Amino acid sequence: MSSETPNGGHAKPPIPTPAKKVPAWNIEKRNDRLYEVTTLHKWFAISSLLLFVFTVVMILADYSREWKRYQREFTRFSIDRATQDKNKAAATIDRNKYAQFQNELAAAQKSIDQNAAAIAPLQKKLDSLNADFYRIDNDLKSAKAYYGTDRYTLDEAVAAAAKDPKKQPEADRARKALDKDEKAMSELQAKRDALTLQIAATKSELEKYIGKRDEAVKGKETTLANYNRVKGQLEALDPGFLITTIRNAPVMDMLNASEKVQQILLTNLYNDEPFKQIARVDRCTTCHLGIDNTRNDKLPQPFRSHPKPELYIASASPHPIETFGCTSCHGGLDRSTGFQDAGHTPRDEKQKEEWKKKYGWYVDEFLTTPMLAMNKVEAGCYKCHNGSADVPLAPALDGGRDLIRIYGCFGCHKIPGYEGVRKVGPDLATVSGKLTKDWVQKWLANPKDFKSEARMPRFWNNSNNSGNVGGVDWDKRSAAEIHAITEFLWSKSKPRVLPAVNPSGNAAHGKELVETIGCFGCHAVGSIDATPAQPQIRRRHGFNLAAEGSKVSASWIYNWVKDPKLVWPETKMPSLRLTDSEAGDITAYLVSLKNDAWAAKPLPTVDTAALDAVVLEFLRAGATNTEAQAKLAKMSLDEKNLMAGERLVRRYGCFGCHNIPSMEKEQPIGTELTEAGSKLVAQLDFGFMPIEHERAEWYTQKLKDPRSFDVKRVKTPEELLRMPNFTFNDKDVSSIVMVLTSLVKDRVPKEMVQQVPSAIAAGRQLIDEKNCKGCHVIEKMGGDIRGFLKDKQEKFPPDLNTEGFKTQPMWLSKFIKDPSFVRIRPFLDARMPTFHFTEKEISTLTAYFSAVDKADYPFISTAIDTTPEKLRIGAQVFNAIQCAKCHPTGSSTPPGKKPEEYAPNLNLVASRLRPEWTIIWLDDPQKIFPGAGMPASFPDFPKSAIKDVLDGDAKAQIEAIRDYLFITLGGGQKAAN
Amino acid sequence: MESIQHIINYLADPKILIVMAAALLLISLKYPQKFYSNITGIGVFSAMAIFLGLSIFDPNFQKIVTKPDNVPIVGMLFLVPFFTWFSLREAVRNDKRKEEGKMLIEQEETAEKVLTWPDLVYTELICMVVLTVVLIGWSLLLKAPIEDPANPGSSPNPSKAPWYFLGLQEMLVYFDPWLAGVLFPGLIIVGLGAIPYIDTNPKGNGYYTLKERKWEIGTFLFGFLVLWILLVVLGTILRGPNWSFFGPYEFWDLHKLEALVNVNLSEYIWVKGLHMGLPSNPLIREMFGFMAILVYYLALPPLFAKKWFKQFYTNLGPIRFQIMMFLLLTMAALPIKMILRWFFNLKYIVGIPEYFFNI
Repeated sequence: MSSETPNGGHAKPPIPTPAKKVPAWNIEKRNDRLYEVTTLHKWFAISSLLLFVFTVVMILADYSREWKRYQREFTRFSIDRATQDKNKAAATIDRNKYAQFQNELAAAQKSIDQNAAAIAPLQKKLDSLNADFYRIDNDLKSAKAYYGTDRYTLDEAVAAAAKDPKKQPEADRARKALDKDEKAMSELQAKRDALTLQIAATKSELEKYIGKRDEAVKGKETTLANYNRVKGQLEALDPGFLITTIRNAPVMDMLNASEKVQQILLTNLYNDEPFKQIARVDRCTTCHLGIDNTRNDKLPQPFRSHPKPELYIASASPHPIETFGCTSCHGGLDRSTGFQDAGHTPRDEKQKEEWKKKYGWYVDEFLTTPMLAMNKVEAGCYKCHNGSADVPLAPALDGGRDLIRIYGCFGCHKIPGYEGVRKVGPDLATVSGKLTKDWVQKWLANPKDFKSEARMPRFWNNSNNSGNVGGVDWDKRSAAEIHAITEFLWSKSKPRVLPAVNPSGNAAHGKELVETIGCFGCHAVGSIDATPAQPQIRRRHGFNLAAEGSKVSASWIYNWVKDPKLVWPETKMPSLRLTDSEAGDITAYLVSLKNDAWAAKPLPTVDTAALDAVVLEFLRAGATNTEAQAKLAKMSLDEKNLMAGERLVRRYGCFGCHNIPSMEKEQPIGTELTEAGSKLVAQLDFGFMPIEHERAEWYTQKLKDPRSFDVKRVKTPEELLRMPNFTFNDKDVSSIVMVLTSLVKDRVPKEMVQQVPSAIAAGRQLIDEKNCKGCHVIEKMGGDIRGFLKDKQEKFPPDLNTEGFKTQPMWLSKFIKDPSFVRIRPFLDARMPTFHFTEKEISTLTAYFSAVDKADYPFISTAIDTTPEKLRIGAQVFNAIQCAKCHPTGSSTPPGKKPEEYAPNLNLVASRLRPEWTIIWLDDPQKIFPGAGMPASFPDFPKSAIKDVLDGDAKAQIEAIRDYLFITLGGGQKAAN
Repeated sequence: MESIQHIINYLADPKILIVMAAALLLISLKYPQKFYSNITGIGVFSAMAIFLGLSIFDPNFQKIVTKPDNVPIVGMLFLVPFFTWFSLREAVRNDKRKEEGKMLIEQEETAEKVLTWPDLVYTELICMVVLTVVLIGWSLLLKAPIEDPANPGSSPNPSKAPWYFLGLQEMLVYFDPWLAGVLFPGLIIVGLGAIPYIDTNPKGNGYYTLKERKWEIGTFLFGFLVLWILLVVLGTILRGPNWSFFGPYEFWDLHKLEALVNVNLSEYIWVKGLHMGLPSNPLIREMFGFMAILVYYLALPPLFAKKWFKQFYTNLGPIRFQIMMFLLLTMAALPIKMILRWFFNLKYIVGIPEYFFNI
């Protein structure tokens, strides 16, 4: 800045001149300044102090991490426990032995003292030899090193000389140097060997005097081994306050801190980022420090051990933590070490509130892979366990997948695992022979009105298409749409010609039959009495029988129950081999199930204007309004109905669930759900729903009320959301949401995916398709009919545990093909139905059962290696334990029992069972089928109550019975010996 | 309360906001004594503080203002007006002193000598230390706003440039990238560099004055405050998803739509004016636009030299005058285009999308 006045007119201000020359650096003394230097000093002091304070605060802020607090707390827990361990170990020291070694040591020391004169020179000699050895050994190591480098020099020189003969002298020199090295080395080696011998000799001489002492010291240490180990652990954990503080202090902690981030590097598992897969680095164990030690199962979180150590974490488990880490199953941000950043997700509202208070938790909109809540954690299994219809040990996820199969979500949405599954709804190609137009119209308006358990969802009267929406009177429009669709379906339908029958029967007996012969494995009448332990999802496999009488005619029902395949060849319903009178009784019962209130409801009248509006909407596509109007005017009412009906069927995607002639090849209309669990929240339309903007919340709302995102929106009819309302209950919704969450895009390396043998995968698929688990327990799942039978345990259809190991493949395939050829359990009311399986399906099933039990298949030997003596003893034991009291055999029947109380006929044993299985069964039937009617005949296994036979050896006696059953009773094969 | 919020939301609309800001600047320069006084300063800044203090209770406002990357802009909202006000207050005071024949403020101050060492260097050192303290404190209080991993399949909405480029991004609303992103920024730098060579007014060297440099200061402040700082603030606080405008109390709804009904000048003339179809040859189609541009850049400078800027022309000489006019016209092009867009829905003056050439 110039002191010149810019525009003149002002006098130059006087510049004060220094009175005395003071050196420039001496700012305190200089008086030619404007500002007080002392003031500047003060400001400098204050700002420097502030800088210091802020720097310290910065270091502390960087230093004080959430995880360190947890590590300190865990160390306290560990120290407490190690101290207890130490005290325990101290108490278990063998004090007598210790004292004994102590005495031995004293005695040995005494003898050493006495022989001091002899020992001293020996010890001196040994010390000197050791010193020599050390020196020579070092020299030898150096000589070897020189030899190595000189050998390299020689190689190089030889190579150079080969190219250029002038360089030969260099190679010669190198050769000489190497020779010298070799000589030096061998001399040193000789010296070293000599010393080794001398040392050994001196040592053994010395040993004579001090050997006892060494032994005593060693013995003493052995008695203290456990105590010292535990003590060492404690010392490692707690090296004292000073050392702990210093090594973990800021800056110092870069050296060897005890508080540090723990991580597991997973080279096989990736974070799936766009265009890049980044290896996962799980740092969860930084806080979850006790996860791998079952001793921590009572500690508070985050230190508790994994609740299922047999499945996870441990090296011997199927999911060792070193290869699977944590986030590959649980989700969350792998590298994070903070509670919020890691993406913890609360399991319910209560926990959410708790976390908000405790950790200031919030929904992180930027986290694309939040952790799965603990009650949804099964969703994490699917990305690897997707090779078969069932996910092992994930009942909730499996339940959700069952629901998807039962309700046919895959009809509209592509969902992995349901490829090629038959459409869930009935075939509409013959609908006109089964139902009336009036019934169908009323049904379509709201299937739940007819019966609340209807599986068919509601397309009309939903939150976006009832009442007046955007100027459309949906009451009128719905009636017109439904009428048009019905007319269209009838135009496509050709009734099947069925035998003319006029059924009659006893409804009460029919009810009894329906409840007992096994219908309730797949069906129910009215609401199902579900419990958490037995949700009976599979009883929704077949439609609910409620109000059946208000739906179809008696003759149709009769034909259907008598032979379902006759009415609909593709049906999944098996034949129960009903007699005419049984079929009549059941028909009478089903006809009696009516919904009179519904039947009395009037049919809404169809408004032609509403129909015109619908037709016009379709005509407008690709045409001007005038053209469309002209076309409309030319159309007859029938043409309008058929056209609107066809277009509406396409709009609503009815062919997703039903076979409709001319629409067999239509593509499903719903959004693909293959990667539903990775869908970005930004891609979901939340409408005006006041819910958390979160993926799972959206799916939950979508399933509860699929159309709710349209509410308050202004949309034309063709823009409305189309997903129908299934009126799922909260539990169903949560199971299905879990399935959707499980469908993530993460790619897992092949070797980490569970490889389900194809025999098992195919079997499970077929078993699910035919709903075998509605009656049977298979692989510990299913048996849903038990939920209805409740405590009538003796009426439970058999548990198929060990079935593959139990039955002979030939027998099993014969039985599956036609179960009527033999009645094994006369005491059961339920019948094994005839499924009309194809040969391929039969072999799929038999191969499946064998594969599950890892039993031989299909060729097995049933020949038994036995002796006549053994057979005799078998007969004796057979009588002693009174097998024939319950089981009929070829020659006798159980005395005083009605045929329907008989246990399985023992004549079947030889052709049906596998000999090896019979042995484990006889040992303890309850082990295989808990609750089986057969008691354990050898409760004191391996001792038997029959002491005078075969020395009371239960195993030998069981074998004898088995041989008797197979050979004597069954006429089975003896092994050629 | 809600109606006040509605009014403020309405007034924050770019067209109203920018016009109001420009008008305010103009009026303030017209009556500087009234505007750049202590009382007005205290009034304006306390009004701003009260506005911020009250508005912070609105959840939507709070969300935008307290976002860690927006905090500096909020600071700028106070700092830039403060320094503008402060310097112009000094200028007003100096102008008054001069009228009264008194010594200027700077003259009074420099009457006493200020030494580089220790006074300046020491003060600078203290400033450095204090600034470091402030930065450390700031970084401790506000965490770096880290979002989800970059995903080209789902880019963040709104996608925003760094705050200092938001003025450029706002220009993209009115101009194509080659203009708003390449030519204009280049010309801003060149133009700023050219100022010392164009500005021959020797007054104001080393002291604050408004009276003696009203034109220069006015032009600069219009360019800097209205066409840069205001656009940065607008881009930060009032532009939400899809670059739609959102009032300060409005929720940033992803689904807010703006009707895209702008038309080109060629359509105005050929279709609306002449009731003809658009010529297929783009050069013929756009000839009126080209003519307008040519007139703007070639005819206006001589006209200005003859009519309104006679004094400038004599002072600067033809070449310097031509350069100044070019830069000035280019700067004026932005508000002109804004006005044309707001009031006539004009999309492009010259629109040749076939060659990506749009003006």
